[in-house]
Amino acid sequence: MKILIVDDFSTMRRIIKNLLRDLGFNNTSEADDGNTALPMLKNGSFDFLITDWNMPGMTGIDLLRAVRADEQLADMPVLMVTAEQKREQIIEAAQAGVNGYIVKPFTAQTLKEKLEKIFERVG
Amino acid sequence: MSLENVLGSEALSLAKDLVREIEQGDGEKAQEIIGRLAQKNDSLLLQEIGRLTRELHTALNGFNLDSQLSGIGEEDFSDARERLHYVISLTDQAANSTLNAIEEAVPLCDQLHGSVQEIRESWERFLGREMNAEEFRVFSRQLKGYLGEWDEQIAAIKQHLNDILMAQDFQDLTGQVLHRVIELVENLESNLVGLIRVAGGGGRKNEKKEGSDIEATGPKVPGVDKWDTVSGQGEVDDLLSSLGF
Repeated sequence: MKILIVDDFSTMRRIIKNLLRDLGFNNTSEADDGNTALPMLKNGSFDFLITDWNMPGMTGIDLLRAVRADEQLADMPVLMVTAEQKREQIIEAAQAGVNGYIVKPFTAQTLKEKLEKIFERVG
Repeated sequence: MSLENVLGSEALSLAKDLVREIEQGDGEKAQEIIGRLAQKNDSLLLQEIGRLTRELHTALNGFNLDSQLSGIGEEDFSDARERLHYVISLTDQAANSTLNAIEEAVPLCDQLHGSVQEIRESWERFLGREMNAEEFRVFSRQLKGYLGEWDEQIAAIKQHLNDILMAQDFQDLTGQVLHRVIELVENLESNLVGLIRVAGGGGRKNEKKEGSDIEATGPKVPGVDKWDTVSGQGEVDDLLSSLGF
């Protein structure tokens, strides 16, 4: 399972990377916004995308839309981990086809549960 | 128009007259010419100051109507203050939870260290055949007890390390809040530069950036942001499941 972690703050990327390693996912890569993430996704045979929303350059919601619009990537499970917590934003993300939504600050347990739930559904 | 240009020809001819009168030795006339020159200079200065005052007045009036500063009000500064206070409280929380975890993990490491020392001493006595059967039975029970303890202590230390890891999320959250305060300061700066431009004669309206359809706003700062937000992961899950998730 190859996972791409996208967040503009390197500390948050490291937190998620460490939590994932703890859960047994050792194959992770990082990108700092949608513009760097998208080419990586297109070339990198990733199985899973974890992205922040608020990033300079291309935001997470735009990255999600770009992923869903891309034939190769359209089915990739996407988990949003973000401080954005307006109802309209969560609905927006759901409509854009997000698979899970975690609000910051979050716990290790929440990340574990949401990942499990997505894997269950995606199969 | 510069002062020198206006003084120009008239001043020059007065100065030439002055030189001539001095050369001819007419002190009274020379004095009179000096007086005229000084008067001319004063009135020109006054005219220039008057012009600048009028321009500044017009510029300031225009500026009020222009409402360039209306984008930034007292509210924004109080917002910025609240946001900075929120940053202080988040960093304080992160530092404290990190220190708490360390203060709890360090004694666990000391206990582990102590019990390893104890076992090592007994083990060396056993290898040196200095231990009788009864002592060995005690040692064996002790070792069994310690193995169970170590398991628990290592799990607890790992939990504390995990708490330290999670506490670092403050950097992301405060970073997003600080970016918003920096935006406000930059906005203020560009408005002040605008004011200077207006006072300098060339007025310029501030253009407001067109917002995209749905904008990222960063973490909600308690007491400042009054958006309709969810109050935690539980509400996110409820909202999503109401959408058929």
